[in-house]
Amino acid sequence: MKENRKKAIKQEDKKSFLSFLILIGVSFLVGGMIGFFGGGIFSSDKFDSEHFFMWFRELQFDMGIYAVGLMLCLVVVNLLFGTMNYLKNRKRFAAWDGESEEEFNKIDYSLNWGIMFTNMTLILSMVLFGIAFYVMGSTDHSFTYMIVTIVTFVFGTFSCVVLQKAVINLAKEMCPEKQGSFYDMNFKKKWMESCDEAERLLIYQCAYRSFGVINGVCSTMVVLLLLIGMFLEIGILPLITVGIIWLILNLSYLFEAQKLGKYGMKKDQ
Amino acid sequence: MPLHNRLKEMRARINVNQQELGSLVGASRQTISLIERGDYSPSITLALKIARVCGVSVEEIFQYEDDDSNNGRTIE
Repeated sequence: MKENRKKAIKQEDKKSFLSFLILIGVSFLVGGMIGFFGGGIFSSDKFDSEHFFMWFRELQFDMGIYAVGLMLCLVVVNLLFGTMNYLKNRKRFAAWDGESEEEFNKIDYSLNWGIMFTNMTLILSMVLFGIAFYVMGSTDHSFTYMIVTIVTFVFGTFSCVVLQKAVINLAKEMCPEKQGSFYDMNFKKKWMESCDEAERLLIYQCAYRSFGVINGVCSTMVVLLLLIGMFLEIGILPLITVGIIWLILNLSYLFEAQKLGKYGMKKDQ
Repeated sequence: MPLHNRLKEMRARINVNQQELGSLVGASRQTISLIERGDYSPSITLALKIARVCGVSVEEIFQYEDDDSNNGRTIE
């Protein structure tokens, strides 16, 4: 029986081995060519490295200048879209007859889009705030720039939080079994405890999909940063940051899997 | 999915809507809807709870039909 199983495993591996080899080979070839020719270009006499690096530094500076404007646009769009979406769905829920599954699903779907956009705005605002701070001291009107940046960021964060809370409370009205206050530190735990088996399965499937996507993104980022680091002075911090995130992602998953395998699935999750 | 169910019929028999049945068995309205559509197979615990609320056996609500991979084999 064990020998049969071993044979079946070897046969399965055999089927996929060639395509795996081809992928590795192509990856090596492409990476090698980029490194070889890129290095050749950047180290040749024809390439003006000083002007290139100066252009790269100016590009970062410009991004910092525009970051505030971009953050403000994002915040305003989110506030308008989020508010309209919430009010429209609140009205629809108030008019819902309590039976129509199609109408309920439409409201749920629409609210999910709204919350997705709000979450995206919150994350991007933080990133743009960091970028704006990068050039803070270098502008002609540093103090004004700093005030505008901080006010935009605080207003943006506040509006996102208010929208998230409103949508969650509406979801709790739509689904009376849902527990947990938005302001509670244990909100995630209480919300999860109030989810039934099908909802938890959905959450687990989404989480597993995210896990796969982040793994792919991290491996791609490491390769990209390695290549970019050959030509530009980006330092080692970006590579270390991505490496830490990748490592924690995998270790936390594996440790949790070990724990669940040893002690069984948690009843409340 | 090889699991078929008569949940909608049973629910109509006891005169409750999806939200009410969900409250009685500790599931959400959406889950009851998914089960009725055949898009989700409940756990044994949930199936037993539903059967108890409906006042029937589990087999009267849920029927499992063999798919081709089993070929109707049983352990003897």
